[in-house]
Amino acid sequence: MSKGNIVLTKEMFVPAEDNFLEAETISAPSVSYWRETWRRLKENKLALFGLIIIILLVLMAIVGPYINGYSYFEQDFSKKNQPPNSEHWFGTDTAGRDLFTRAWYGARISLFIGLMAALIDFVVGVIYGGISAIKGGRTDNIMMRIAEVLFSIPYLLMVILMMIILERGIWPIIVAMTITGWIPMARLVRGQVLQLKELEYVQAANAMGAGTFWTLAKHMVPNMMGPILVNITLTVPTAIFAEATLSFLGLGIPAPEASWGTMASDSLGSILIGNFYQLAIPALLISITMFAFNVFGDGLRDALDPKLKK
Amino acid sequence: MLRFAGKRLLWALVTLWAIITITFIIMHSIPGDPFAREGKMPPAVYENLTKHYHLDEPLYVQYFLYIKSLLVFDFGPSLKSSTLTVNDYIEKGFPVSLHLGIQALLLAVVLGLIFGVIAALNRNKWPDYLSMVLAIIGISVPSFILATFLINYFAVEWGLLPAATWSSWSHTILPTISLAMLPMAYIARLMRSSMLEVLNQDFMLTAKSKGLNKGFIIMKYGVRNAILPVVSVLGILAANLVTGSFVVESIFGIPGVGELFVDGIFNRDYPVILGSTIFYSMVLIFLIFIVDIAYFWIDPRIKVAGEEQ
Amino acid sequence: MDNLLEVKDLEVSFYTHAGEVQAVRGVNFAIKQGEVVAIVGESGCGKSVTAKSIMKLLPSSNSSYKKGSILFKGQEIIQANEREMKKIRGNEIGMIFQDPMTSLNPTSKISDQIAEGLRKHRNMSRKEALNYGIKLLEMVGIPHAAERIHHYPHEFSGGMRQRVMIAIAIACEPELLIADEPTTALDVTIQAQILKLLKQLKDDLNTAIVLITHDLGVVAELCDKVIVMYAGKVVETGNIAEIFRNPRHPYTMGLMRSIPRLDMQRDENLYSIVGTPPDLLNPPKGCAFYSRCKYAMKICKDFSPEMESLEQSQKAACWLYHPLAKSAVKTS
Ligand SMILES: Nc1ncnc2c1ncn2[C@@H]1O[C@H](COP(=O)(O)OP(=O)(O)OP(=O)(O)O)[C@@H](O)[C@H]1O
Ligand code: SF4
Ligand SMILES: [Mg+2]
Repeated sequence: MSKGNIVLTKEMFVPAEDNFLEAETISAPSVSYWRETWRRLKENKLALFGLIIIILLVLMAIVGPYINGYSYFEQDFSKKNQPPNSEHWFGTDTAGRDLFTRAWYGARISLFIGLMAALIDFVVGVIYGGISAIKGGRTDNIMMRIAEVLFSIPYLLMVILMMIILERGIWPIIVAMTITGWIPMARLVRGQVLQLKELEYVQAANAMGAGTFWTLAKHMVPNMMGPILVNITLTVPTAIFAEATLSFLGLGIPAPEASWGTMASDSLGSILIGNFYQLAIPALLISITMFAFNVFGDGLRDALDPKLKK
Repeated sequence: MLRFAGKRLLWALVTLWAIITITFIIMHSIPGDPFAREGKMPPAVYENLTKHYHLDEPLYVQYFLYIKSLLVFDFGPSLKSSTLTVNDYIEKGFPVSLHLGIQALLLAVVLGLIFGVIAALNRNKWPDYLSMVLAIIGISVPSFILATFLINYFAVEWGLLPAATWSSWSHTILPTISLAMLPMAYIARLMRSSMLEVLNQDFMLTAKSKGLNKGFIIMKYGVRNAILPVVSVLGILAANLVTGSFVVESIFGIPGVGELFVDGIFNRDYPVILGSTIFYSMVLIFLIFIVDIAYFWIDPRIKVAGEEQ
Repeated sequence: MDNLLEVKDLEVSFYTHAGEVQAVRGVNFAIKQGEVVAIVGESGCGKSVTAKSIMKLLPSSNSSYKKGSILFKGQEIIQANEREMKKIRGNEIGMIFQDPMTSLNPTSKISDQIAEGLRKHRNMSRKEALNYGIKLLEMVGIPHAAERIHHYPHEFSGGMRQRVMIAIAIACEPELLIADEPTTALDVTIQAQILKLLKQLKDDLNTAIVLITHDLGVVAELCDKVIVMYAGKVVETGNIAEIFRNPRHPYTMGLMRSIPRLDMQRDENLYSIVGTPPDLLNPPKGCAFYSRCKYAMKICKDFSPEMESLEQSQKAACWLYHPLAKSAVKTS
């Protein structure tokens, strides 16, 4: 007996014995959270591009200042205002300092400020937000109200005010930036902890007598890593932006130290006398860094939260 | 409604009080005697200061009198002049800053919304990429750098537009663009993601299943819902505009409050710095209050939640 | 030709980063004026995709009709352009969705949401549409309709919202109503009310209804015909008496056994079919139910069974009903 071009035989109609086994092999492979995130991130070419730029910037911030043998502070007025050439790859500034070395030294300081600010925001935010969420009730209410009031002061205004009473330097800038900068992180952590508190395994850990802090550290932090990482990534460009603005207002890093912000604002006037490269180099570096962190942060957020990407 | 407004008003006052207190603390933690800096001060100015800040009274009295003077919008004297007060400077500068700010905000909102919607509707196609590249540039380039570039090309090289001061409408074009770029970029990105979320909602399918026109669906079902998060961040954007205006005003030499503030920083004119800070805060808090109330009207779901409480 | 809607060999796929999801892999059914047809099957078997295909509501960016035809009153839907579809949607075919909490526009008043369709398809004035909308709301059983019509969706409960959705869907008196799990998101008592309402509408307006559900209890209450879907395919069809009295496909048998019965012991566990449906990214080449079927035979693994007529209107796709299989079943 045949059907179409298949020949059917009686033997084909005997019961199958192993059919239930198939069910197990068919089930979709379970891919872990981070692997899945990484896969989605890799699909986002722009974010990947951002990540590569960030890695290159960090590398150059580490080795860049040593490459061509000049130091960031050494002045040589006989060679001032040279446009980029074979000896000074990025040219020299008004005091004859090598801009290539200064640019990467500035990268070091700008990235350091950005990363430190992000790190301190992270630590303060996790502690504040974590305590607020775990204590709950009245404490939570009061703590969040305080944060809300502080947060309604414009960030940059607060940083400027702080810089007025602090001395000029790297650490004061970082302090000024973190004085209200931790608040978004605290809110984020609080929200996440409140959500996670409801989850069964955290409750189970609590029931088994694990201390609250221990529970927080062990179960929650790894789970919250995703959104927190995004926040850190996006804090870096904010800090670099703020540092640049401070420099413009004359509240930045004092000479001879260099940050991209001071390099840019010092050379604002130079374009009028034709030394366009003196502004272009730090401006480009600031913009590229901001761009890289922003697209990477965005890509990371999308990759961690596939809801939008369906 | 009244209840909601009352609550927001109370909140605004608490915030204002916090800011005033912070400025008071800052004033008193400035290293050295901020008012006797380098001894160059004319005696008349010093006298004005002592009188306004009641420097001869105990600290707590100073604090209350400080708050009291601010409540009647008295921002005190300035170091620059023995006759002109901070109020006089603000009165002169505020109309200019307001003009610039409103113009920039309008530009940012209109263009930002358009870019955001176009990007979302053409997701992963070239209009999306183009809008988002523009938005990322807007976020990545600090305003003082953008402003310098604009001046360099549009004013110096090509001579198309005037570069500085504030005398005709064409003078406002470059500063408005410099100031609007960042908030525009924010709005475009926010609107894009908000719109994408709304496009995924079930009610979009309902709308389509009714056989309505595409344009109508996009406006009434899409934009109408997607715009809510944008409205709710308008307050933050206004704050952004204010801080951005410091830089833009001082680069373009625009005689607004921002330039006053920046000059104050360069001259260490603390009364001017603190006075304009508080003035800015008042403006912002007022704006945020207005935005809250507006949001209340725009989102029908809040109305009920507010009335039930 | 007396069929209102005829779906033939419909195949629909989605293109995702993981590959082609063959959501619908061959669906056939027809529905006459005033008839109620149920599509049943477990989650993910392609019921909603089938329903949306009829209205061309699938996302155009990543889906495609691979094969088949959908004839509505003789018109080929798959070939229809947007302009033609706009005339059909809401006017000749109405649709109700699963979740009433999310299927209404939260920022627009009910009055607007009802009036939109009326004004577009019936050319009513604002006033006429409002008055007619009030009548519709009364018809679907919303008290104080004249006042309630000016409210926003969030001011209604879930059941009431679904009534509103139904009022919107029937506003232009469509000949066909597609209800995609209209009761799944509701409480049991409210489910019954909504079903009663649908039944009454069918009787009053003589609307044909495609009712999608995975609840067979719902089916028994108001349907004429049943279509059982599994993994993107129709595996059994028939009129309601046939299917309930004598289900023939092993999957349908399983579904029947999983309906809660009144005569059940309190502690008796509800039957459920073991295992999970196959991945539609790589559907098996044999019978899709193979891995969960008690009666599976060797042939089922590699060859896909075709629909065979069994009773007057009952058809099933299962090798058990092949002449060669009779002996095999007996011996097992
Ligand atoms: N937009 C889409 N993109 C990709 N795959 C989709 C899309 N919509 C549906 N699918 C896939 O098509 C298959 C059928 O989905 P469908 O929504 O029709 O199921 P259903 O039978 O309605 O289930 P439920 O009872 O859960 O509503 C599913 O495997 C689903 O993953
Ligand atoms: S064809 Fe075979 S596996 Fe499929 S339902 Fe029938 S008996 Fe079971
Ligand atoms: Mg469905």
